[in-house]
Amino acid sequence: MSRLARRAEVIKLARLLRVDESTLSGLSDLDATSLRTFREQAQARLFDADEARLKRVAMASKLLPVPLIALIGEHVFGALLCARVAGLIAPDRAAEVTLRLETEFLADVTLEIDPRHVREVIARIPVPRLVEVALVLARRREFVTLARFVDYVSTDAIRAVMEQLTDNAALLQIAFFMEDKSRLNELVGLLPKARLREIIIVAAAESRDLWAEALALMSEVNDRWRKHLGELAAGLDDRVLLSMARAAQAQKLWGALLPIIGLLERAHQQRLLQLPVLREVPMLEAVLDAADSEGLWDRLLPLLPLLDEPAQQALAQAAERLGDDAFGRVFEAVQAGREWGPLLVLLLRLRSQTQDRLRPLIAKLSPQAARQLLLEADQLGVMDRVDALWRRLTLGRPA
Amino acid sequence: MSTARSTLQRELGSAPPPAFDTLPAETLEHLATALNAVRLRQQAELDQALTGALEYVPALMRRPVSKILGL
Repeated sequence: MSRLARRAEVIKLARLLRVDESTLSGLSDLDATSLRTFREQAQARLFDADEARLKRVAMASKLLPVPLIALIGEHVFGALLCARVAGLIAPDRAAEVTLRLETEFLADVTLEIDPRHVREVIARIPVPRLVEVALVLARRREFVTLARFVDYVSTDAIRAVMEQLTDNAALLQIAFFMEDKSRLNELVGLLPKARLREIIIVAAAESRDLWAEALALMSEVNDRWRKHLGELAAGLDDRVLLSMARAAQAQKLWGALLPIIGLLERAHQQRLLQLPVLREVPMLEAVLDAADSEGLWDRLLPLLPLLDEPAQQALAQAAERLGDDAFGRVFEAVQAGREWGPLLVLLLRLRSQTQDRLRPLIAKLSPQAARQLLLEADQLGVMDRVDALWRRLTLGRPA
Repeated sequence: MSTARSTLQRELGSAPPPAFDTLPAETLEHLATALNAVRLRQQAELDQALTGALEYVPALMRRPVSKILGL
């Protein structure tokens, strides 16, 4: 998830600095919070740079009628300066000016504006006017700008925009760039189930490649909506699921996908985990890497018994490249969750040389943990194999 | 503090977040240059707009408006 948030921040910063996103690739390893802080500092710097002169402009505007302000704004000042002055004019008057500007020009102004400075103005602009501007921005694919305004407009305005904006790919991209993700729950709740399903289908379309955006959306909503969206995706045909797994692999999104799978109904989990693609070792290596680097062993382990035998064999093969530290974290997660069955799925399929590497971890198990492991081995009908493993590792039989 | 980082700090008007200390000098220089260019463009547009705007202001109002704008 942090990977997606970083990507969104780099795009927003490139936009502010008017540089190509590719020239900021060196920033993509920084954390999203630092990137956002830097962007806000840069934005404040630009806003403050000419504040004294801009305040004088706002003051002079009090002497002029609204139609003349709109005329000068559109024909002389241009979008950038109108954006800077907008927050310094009385909100009622500024909102009145917006009604007299050409919609295309007003859309230009929103590209330059910092919505935090014009919150009061936005609140006074009638919903139909906001919808007109939003549709122009969507047509121009200005999703970063649309997303920045979502935090500052009323629920009524958002509902009206979503009704008129029928491009589901656009909605996904706006959600991806939203800054206050807590509002996503409300927005998802405004959409009917059929529309949410269509949005997921759009994400899966090969020509769109929007799984990063869709998984970001699913990751940012609360568990209730995450489960709902995950179930909608899992209920679609195998091609959609396959496209999701392939996207997670290609774009390193397993860290976002694993927690979603963890919330699904058992039947959906099973269907997803038994996709033939999950028998590919490189795919499973990526899953294991994500689980380890993003601290998701507790989400992954319960899913292992749902893999079919070829997938479990491939998983064990993929696990051969895990380091000793990573296996240590697997054991920690198992002990915290107190379920040993999933670990046994992996343990018993590892090559004997890899099992040997686990000797120190097994030797350190508490008597209670060892008893629990044995109990679960018995329930799973693999007691004889666990017993043999213990003897081979010369640990003696667990008490 | 490296030259590139202090240039960026000066351009930004405050210290960038600590994570930026890990960036190579060329990246910091690129950020400072880009920010400087946007700021200069904004200033130039403002200079031009202030004089241009007066032409639209009715003759009667031109003096008081110029006075407020400091022109």
